[in-house]
Amino acid sequence: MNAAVSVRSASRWYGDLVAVNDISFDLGPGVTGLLGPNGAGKSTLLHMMAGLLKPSSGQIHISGEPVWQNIGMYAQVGLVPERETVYPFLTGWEYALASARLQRLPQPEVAAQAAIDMVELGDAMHRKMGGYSKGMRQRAKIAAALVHDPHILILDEPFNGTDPRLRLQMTTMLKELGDTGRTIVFSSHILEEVEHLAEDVLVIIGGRLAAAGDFRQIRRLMTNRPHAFTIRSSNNRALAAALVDRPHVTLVSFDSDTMEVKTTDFGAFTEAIAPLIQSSGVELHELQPADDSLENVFSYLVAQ
Amino acid sequence: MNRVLISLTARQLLGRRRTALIGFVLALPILIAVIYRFSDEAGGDTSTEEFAIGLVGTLIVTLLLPLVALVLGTAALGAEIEDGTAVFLLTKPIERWRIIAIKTGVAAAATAVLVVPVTMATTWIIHGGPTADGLMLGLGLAALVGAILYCAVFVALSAFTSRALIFGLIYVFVWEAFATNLFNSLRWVSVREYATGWSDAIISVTDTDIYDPRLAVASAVIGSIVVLSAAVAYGTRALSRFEIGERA
Repeated sequence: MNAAVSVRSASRWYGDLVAVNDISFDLGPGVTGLLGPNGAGKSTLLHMMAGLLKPSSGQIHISGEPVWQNIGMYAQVGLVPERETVYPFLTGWEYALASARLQRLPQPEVAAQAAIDMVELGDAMHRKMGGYSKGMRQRAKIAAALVHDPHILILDEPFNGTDPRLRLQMTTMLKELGDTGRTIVFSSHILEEVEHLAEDVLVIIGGRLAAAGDFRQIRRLMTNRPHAFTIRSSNNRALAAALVDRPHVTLVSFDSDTMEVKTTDFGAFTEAIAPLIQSSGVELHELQPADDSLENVFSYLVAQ
Repeated sequence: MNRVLISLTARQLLGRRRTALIGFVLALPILIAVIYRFSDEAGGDTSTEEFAIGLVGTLIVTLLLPLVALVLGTAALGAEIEDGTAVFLLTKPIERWRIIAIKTGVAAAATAVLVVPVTMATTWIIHGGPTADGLMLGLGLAALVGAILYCAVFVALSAFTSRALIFGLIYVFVWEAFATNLFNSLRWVSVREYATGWSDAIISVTDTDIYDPRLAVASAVIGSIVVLSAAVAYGTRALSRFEIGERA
């Protein structure tokens, strides 16, 4: 049986710039998060999957059919683009209804109303979208993408500009859609967004697929990577002397009034540091991770 | 489906500011015609036909018509591609030829609705009533054909490049206004010549010093069909290969 989405050695380059580099994966029912920092190639990959960009090499299939120049596939695919452009002169209702009619649905009014209800846009459905907030426009775009009940839903940074209520509601809705056999793929550069929603994750960095699979395994890999902490205390040298005895501490270095500690075991370090400070009799002024940016996390994953 | 496409395109095209600006520009020839009608010039050396050809044929059909078609033709599809709303249409199971044909049809209808009445009204005012030489109907027909052909070309152009407006201006002001006048053989590749060629079938003062279309009716009809078909085919091909964010 064909995978819902199949990406095989897909690359996309613009002149000398390689945006997506030789990526392969299959997606089945459920929610998959496409995680990566800004500029990693997430949107390029999603646009290729949505048939809006031609792969420079490789192939992308949806339900066994190539996506490029295949307009028939849009009957089973919904796309929520990142760019928040909607027709400002249409109301939310007109937008969803237009989407239903363009999908040639037998009962477009019923489908449009169901989609509007699903994203809870009922109160504002008869207002022109030009006056919508960012979150309301996002709801309208999702309603238009869901109106034909697609098997595959592609969302590019769907949580951008959304308030916590909409975020929670969208998370619940997308989970439910995933649980009912639809294939949902969404991109994000925020780890927590992916953590709350996706069972499977694709980590993309520098156009390459850095990791793919179960989110918990990848999260563990991220957590167990070497970590660095910056510490400022009343007596850095005394604290350093206590720390170097620990097997998971690999390096302690000083820089004026701060010191940097590197550890191979995040969990063991965070458990040990508080009693160690107490027993050393030093006063802790500051303790913070030194390299916890997403880019660092991704760089580590790529190296693995 | 067609109704939705037509409605979306028409509502996007006929925004209040754009329509008001075009209406203001198109009021100018009517104003000039009124001034002519009530001035001494109306019975002067310049014949009414010559004045009508000068004002309607030159100002409206060869200048204002392509400009209005350029504004509406490039806005019909190009504006949607520019602001990203085109993704809404392009991710629906709609044949690309249908999008191009409907965008062309709506832009052409809007152009014709704005320009053809102005063309005919201006001729009427200059003559002080209907013309026996078929000038009013002939120029109206030229404006109608021009609206269709120009819009087809400009919609196709906007499916191909985000700089359709610039290329359109170069086409109107360099190619049609200059090059085709300089080299007679280039009349075969000019929308203006195809449009005015149709009027030869109606206007009785053709082939005179007053009015002499450079293409015969048969040539104009064949040329128009070729231009329209080629523009829709080319626009469809360009839209089928459209890639998001990759416009030159």
